[in-house]
Amino acid sequence: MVAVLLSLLLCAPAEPDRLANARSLVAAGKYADALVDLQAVSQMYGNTPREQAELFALRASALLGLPGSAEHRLDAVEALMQMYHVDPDGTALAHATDEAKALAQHLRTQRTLVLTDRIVTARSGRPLRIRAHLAGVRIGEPQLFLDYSAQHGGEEPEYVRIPMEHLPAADVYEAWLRPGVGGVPGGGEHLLLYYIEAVDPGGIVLDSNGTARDPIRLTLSDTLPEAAGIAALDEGGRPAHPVLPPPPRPWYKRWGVLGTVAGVIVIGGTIALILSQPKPQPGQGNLGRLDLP
Amino acid sequence: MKRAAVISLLALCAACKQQDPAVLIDMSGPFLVPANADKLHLEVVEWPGGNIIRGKDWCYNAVAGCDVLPAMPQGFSASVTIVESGSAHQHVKINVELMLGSTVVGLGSATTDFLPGQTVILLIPVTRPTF
Repeated sequence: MVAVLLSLLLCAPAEPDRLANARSLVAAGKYADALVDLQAVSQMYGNTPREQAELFALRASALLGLPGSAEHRLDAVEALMQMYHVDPDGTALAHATDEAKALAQHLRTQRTLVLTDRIVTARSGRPLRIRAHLAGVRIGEPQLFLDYSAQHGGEEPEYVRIPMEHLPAADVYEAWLRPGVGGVPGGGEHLLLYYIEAVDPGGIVLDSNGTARDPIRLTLSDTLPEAAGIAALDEGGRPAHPVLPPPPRPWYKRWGVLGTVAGVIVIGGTIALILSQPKPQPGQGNLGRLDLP
Repeated sequence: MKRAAVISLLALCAACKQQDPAVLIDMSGPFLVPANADKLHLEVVEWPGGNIIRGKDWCYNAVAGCDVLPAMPQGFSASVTIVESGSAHQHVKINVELMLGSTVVGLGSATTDFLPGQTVILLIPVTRPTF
């Protein structure tokens, strides 16, 4: 059995690093091939923000490397704007071509950009502050709006729109989401979708970090370790769950009685658990078993 | 006497060891194998970290290192059981990719939790990507 499992593990094909492949293709000037690879990678789920930023930077590089056309340049602009949304400092440009770097620099000064440090995980049941700032050119005094929605199943999300407060001293905009207020979940495990729009005084959208169709996804959790490690802002950095001393352990002298009762509970519980297990019914094409390393 | 009872109780509990946490993935979609798709790629991703824990391919055409993907003339319908044997990934994302040659023709994805001693059933519809 062990030998079979080992052979299965050894025979499994290595996971190709498609992003690295696309990077090599861009470096080699094979821009059309790189775009095909980048398209495939972007369709996959599980890309980290850093990988997404590199995807956008490479996509812009490849588009600008193709024979010049207005459409390619517009797509490259769009890709670089998305890169900045994910990676406000533009560190992903390290792998981009000189042409893409130059266009990114141009955009940074000539376009309005809504930049925010995207929050991936936050503790549930605590006030949450979302901050953003504007970069690039400003037309009048724009207003920033936060649109958010706590997702329920597979429904089309309905967004709640609130204006973000401008803090002139720090030149940032912020909005607070408070548990149980305005559709914000009071606790538990939830997926919160949000995006931030900058609107000029005439009502024209200057930029949007995330969109209604492709929002920023934030996991609200009180169990994930990433969330547990982040102290909510209203806690002043105190530990989220103060360590309470355990109550004094009761002492029972009659071990025989306790042992018998515990034994009955354990055996009964185990039998009930076994009987209540759902019996998986494999589909038509049973492809077998995959062991996680 | 009491010690013997406790020891026998512990031995009994040890014998009732729980099964490894597992996820039974049922995938389906409007793809005929091999006419519309001839390769299945499945990967288990640590979520929300994004690191790929394990990936595996099944091919309709015999390829070294690629398990067999049977013909499915009534539409794509397949199941795989993912077992946590020795690892401890509580929350994972499953990505499913159907290919025809080198072209991606179908995608599916879902997140799930491994539950101690249980097999969780997860249905993943595979649909055509919107390029």
